[in-house]
Amino acid sequence: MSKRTPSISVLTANRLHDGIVVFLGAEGDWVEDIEGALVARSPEEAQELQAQGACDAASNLVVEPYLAEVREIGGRLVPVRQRERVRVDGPSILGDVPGYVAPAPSARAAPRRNPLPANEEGAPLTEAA
Amino acid sequence: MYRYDEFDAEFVRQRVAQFRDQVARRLAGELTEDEFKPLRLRNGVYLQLHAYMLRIAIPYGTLAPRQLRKLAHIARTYDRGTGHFTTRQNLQFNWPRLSDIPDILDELADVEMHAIQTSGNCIRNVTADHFAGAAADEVADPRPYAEIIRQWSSLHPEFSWLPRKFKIGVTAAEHDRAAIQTHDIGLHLKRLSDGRLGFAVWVGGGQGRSPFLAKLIRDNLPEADLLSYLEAVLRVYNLYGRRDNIYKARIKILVHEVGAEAFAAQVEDEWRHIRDGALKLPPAEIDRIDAYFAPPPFDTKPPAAALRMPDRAFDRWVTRNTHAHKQPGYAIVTISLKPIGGIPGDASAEQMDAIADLAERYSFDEVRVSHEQNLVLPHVRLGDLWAVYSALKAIGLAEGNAGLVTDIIACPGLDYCALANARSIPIAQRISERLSARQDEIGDLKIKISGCINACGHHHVGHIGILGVEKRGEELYQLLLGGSGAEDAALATIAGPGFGPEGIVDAVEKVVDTYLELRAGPQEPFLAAYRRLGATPFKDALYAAA
Repeated sequence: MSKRTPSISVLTANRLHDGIVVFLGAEGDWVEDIEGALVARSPEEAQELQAQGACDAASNLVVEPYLAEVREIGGRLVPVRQRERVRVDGPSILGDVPGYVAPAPSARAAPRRNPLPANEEGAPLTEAA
Repeated sequence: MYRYDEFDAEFVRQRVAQFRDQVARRLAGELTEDEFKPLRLRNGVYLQLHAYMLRIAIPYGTLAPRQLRKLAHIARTYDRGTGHFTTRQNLQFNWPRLSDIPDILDELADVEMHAIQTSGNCIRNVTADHFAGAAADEVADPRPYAEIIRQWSSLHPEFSWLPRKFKIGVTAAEHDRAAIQTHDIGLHLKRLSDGRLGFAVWVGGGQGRSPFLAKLIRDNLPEADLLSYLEAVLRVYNLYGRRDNIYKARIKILVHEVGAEAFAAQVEDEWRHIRDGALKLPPAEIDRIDAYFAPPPFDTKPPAAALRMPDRAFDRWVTRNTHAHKQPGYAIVTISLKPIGGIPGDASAEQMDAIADLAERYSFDEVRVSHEQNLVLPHVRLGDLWAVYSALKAIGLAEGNAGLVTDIIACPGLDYCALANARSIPIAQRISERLSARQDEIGDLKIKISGCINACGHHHVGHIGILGVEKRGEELYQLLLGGSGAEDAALATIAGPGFGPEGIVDAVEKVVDTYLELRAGPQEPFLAAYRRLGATPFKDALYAAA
């Protein structure tokens, strides 16, 4: 048995019009919360996510999509790299930024397009727990 | 300060209109990211970890109150209430929407500001001594020359696609506050042997992955020849600088590989052909630009001494945050953007507005941005220091720590930057909190922190430098010792194995404790003690238990 937790991944990018971090979600939309991200558990599923990301980048919904390795810890998705954890959590020092005003919840609907294709067994790709 | 003429104003408006069209085409899908990226970078727009970032040029660090108020307005209206002053004397907004940026640039144009050439492989915003035009120890105000360089380098057709970015810094004092030896070209304005003004020209400095200090290639350049000589340097670099490897494309690598003497000979050869051409600076043109930087109407009979109040914090602030002014009865005031435990270089919209008010009331409508991420009121009557201090205290910016161990430079690091490997800001905050109680005892000590090898936090020239790296997905910090960005410039050396985010704060404290234990006395600052003692006692203290 491998000592290493099997790696799983999500597809992340920045939204084109405002640059905000997003994840490819279950409905084929791009969501701001990693907990709504589709999770690829095999190289084949990862390839499907990447293909969808390339399609959405070409459609100018998002910029520079890429796979981020995650682990499931306590029922949550936690990126493996510190860099990705910061992207998920936001700047670690926001509470100390002088005059910082958090944005109101986005009034703009996340970019949507057709749902992802089903996998070989006909089931949709898995969503994060 | 310099005011736009009709050409400047029209040029900036045209650029805004062009970029507005480019953004619209990108959002409409008519431009791909690959097509758009070089266009946005030309206008200071980066895509960072969490959002777009807009970098705004503040030429030679000089701001008018109306400009600072505009930055505050933009922070409130388009960003999240805050701006970040950088080590390039620029200001960055961390959260603008791409779709808003054309409007932001239009607002900036209203106050003669822009974001042109704050990115890309071109000549970047020219930096200068933040005390320029006020410092008692300068031979002349270097900003007119910085402005002349700005005009020459803006959209220069030959130098818009250099092998790599190019940074020019200017100082006019023996004490180098502009870190000119870390620039691609560093200019030291001075009196030449014939008594006229001229320049010492340093070339090939830079930090980043491969740090080098600049080499002196000409010590006696007449001011009239400034642009033709710069043109010759840039031409040699543009011709021979490497374009096949981004890590070897800066002029520092070229100068290092061919040698300063050979590089200088090539420059002289090129210069011979163009020296007496169109770039010769006529005295009338120098005088015309110089007039924009004429000294303000100083009170010729101000009080002779600083007004001291029975307030220890005020006395500390006067001691640390004021600097000798060339005009009797005046002082230069450093506004520390390093409150204890705060974020280096950050200022809220409210703080920017308040500082603009202070500049209007007490500093002849001028504010400066320093490469050490502080602001400066360059012309304050000694009798007004208490009023300025009190107003700064009301906005939380009255820490008397300029040049002390809590006056830390830190890049945005992994909290914002797409290139970063580790966070810089929290490390600066923890060190500031840890050492603040002893900062007066410790004395002059510059800590500089970068979150990656690109060295925006100037860690190579910190008395204590910290470099954040990534190891197996986690943050690790290397400690460097003995650097300086001043006239005694030196590159710091790595002390040994790195430390985790908690351990690096302990490590810095150990270095400081070792210094306090071994220094000849309070009059021997950290860097002098380090140079006398060498690295060994500090390494022993750091790694003895390992």
